[in-house]
Amino acid sequence: MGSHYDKTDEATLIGDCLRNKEAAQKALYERFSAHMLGLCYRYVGTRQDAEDVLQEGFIKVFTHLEQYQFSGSLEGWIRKIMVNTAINHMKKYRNFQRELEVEQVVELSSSLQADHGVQTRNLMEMIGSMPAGYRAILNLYAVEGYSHKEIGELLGIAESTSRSQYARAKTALSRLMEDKQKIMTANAK
Amino acid sequence: MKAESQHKDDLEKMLQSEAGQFALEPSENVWQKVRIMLHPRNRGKVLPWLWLPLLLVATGIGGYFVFYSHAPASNVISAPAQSSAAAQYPGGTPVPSKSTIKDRAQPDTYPLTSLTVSREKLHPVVSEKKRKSDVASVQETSPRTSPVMEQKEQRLLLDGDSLAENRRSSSPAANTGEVIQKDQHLSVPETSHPATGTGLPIKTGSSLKIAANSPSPAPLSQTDSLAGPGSDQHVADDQQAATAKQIITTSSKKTSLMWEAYFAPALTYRFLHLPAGSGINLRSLHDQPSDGFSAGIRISRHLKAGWGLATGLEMNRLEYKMNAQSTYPAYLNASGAPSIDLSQRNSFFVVANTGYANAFAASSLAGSLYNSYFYIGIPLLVSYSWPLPGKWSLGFSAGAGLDYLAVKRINILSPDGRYFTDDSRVQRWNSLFRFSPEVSIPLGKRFGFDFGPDLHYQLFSTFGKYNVREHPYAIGLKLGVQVK
Repeated sequence: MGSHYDKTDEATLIGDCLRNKEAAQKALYERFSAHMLGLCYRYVGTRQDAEDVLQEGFIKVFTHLEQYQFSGSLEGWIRKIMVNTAINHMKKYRNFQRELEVEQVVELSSSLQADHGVQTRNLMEMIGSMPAGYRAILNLYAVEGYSHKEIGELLGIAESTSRSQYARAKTALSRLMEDKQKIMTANAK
Repeated sequence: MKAESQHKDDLEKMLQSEAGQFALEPSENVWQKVRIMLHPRNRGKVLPWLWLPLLLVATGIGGYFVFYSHAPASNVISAPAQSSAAAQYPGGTPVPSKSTIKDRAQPDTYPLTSLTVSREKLHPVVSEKKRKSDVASVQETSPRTSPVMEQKEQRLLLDGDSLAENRRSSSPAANTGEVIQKDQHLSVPETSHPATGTGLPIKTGSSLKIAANSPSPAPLSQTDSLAGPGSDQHVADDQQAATAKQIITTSSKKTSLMWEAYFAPALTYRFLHLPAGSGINLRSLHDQPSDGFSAGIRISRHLKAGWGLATGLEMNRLEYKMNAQSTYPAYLNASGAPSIDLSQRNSFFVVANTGYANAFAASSLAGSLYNSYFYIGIPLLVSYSWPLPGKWSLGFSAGAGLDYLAVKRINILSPDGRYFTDDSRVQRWNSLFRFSPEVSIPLGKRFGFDFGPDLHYQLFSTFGKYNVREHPYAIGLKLGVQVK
């Protein structure tokens, strides 16, 4: 069921959210939640964790909304919060920092051996099956457009480490995609 | 190499385009959790304000009964009906019937003759057990007297010693008999008067106690004229006096106030419950056992058949110990105490590092982290006791009270180990449920000692303004000294 906020411009929506109107907050959440959950999923790799991050992220969004300066798009601002929240979530895992430093062995997950083409979901699942360190750097550099220097600061690693790990992550993803393609070809024959 | 580079560029492009399309519909409970954190329920604001007036009313009613009510009028003693022993009075004096008394005295008055208890001395065949049953039967059936009547009775009733003294010193001239007003509800069955002409209703309980302590009791001298000449009335009166005194003492014991001072060192334990959909995560829902104590004074009053009411003033120090391994202050305020930015508190339980990028830069806390509550309260308790051999008694008291959190040291632990204090959301007014089975041992006539387990349970959550239910328990060993 839609509300009158569905077609309201962003400035009005943000104003009502700042006035703590629940309907406006829900409208803003519904406007961005699906894409943001997709973003969270790319980082944390499971739906449950992604929803946890989404929840944390939206609470941050609403409690810090007065800091939004209208200098960029609202979606971009929310994305940034979600990315930071996801990275913080990943940092809670003990092995995360170690995974950022060492080369990881990546194997194709059995759950990916489906008979479909390389679709978006499969690609996301492949990314999700990668080690957390690769996943984070791959998403930050290739998708979000962060520089290696920014990634280094965000993750607490050297810029050169970010660069080398990104190269390894891309190689690993390429290998995964090739393996997937071979499986699909074999199944077709 | 170039082909590989080209392939990687394609990979980045594909990643960017595919990622832009990728969306997942979140489940409904995500929004519910966000909503709850943004708009926390104010459940805690309502309940104490409903509870508070109820407690005040209950305390007021309890206080009225304890401090202002008189002893039940059912303690009136009169001659047992249809006493066969009455006809065998050795003195041979005819039993004065109600009509006889009326004829002799003024209308609506009775001559004051003797205490009912004299029957037993004059008729030793009546056992102690019988006397008790007689008293009990009358207690159950007699109506309540008016305060005016009680005052008249108090004026006229004597304690046992004074009674005997008056018997000895009474002159024939004094034997005109002192009368008391016959109150309509104090009717005496015509067949109930013993041979002495006794059967005059007397009042025991608090009024008797007052009379017993009276330094100048009214003279009582009618007995001789009714007992008839030649009887050994003086000896009998001494015995009457002793028995009356015994009854007075026994009766006054039942209705007197009792003071008690007590101390109860206790073990404490607390666990927390998160209601469904609260959206809150805590570091731990269970605390480690710790310690505390209760101390206070109580004043209690016996009401009826073992039941009693008690109130008083009590202090409770309850401490709950949290596992503090790898914990950090969320934020240090100007005075260096762990605190929280109030604008962040709604999201504190679910958002890691909310607002504090360098939260973990603070040094970790060594040792344990405590939540300490110090309550001052006015309890209202209902008690019941059973007699045990050797004048001991077993009883219990249970009730709740109005408790004020006077001093507190409260820390809340977030999932990532940060702790903070949020005083603005702590409930100051609360109520502690108390349950104390205890054994009482008399030490002399006025003093006593009691001991037993003492259980406390805090009825409302200290964190009532968060959606967290708190279950704090304390079980102690109560040691008390009683003064009657």
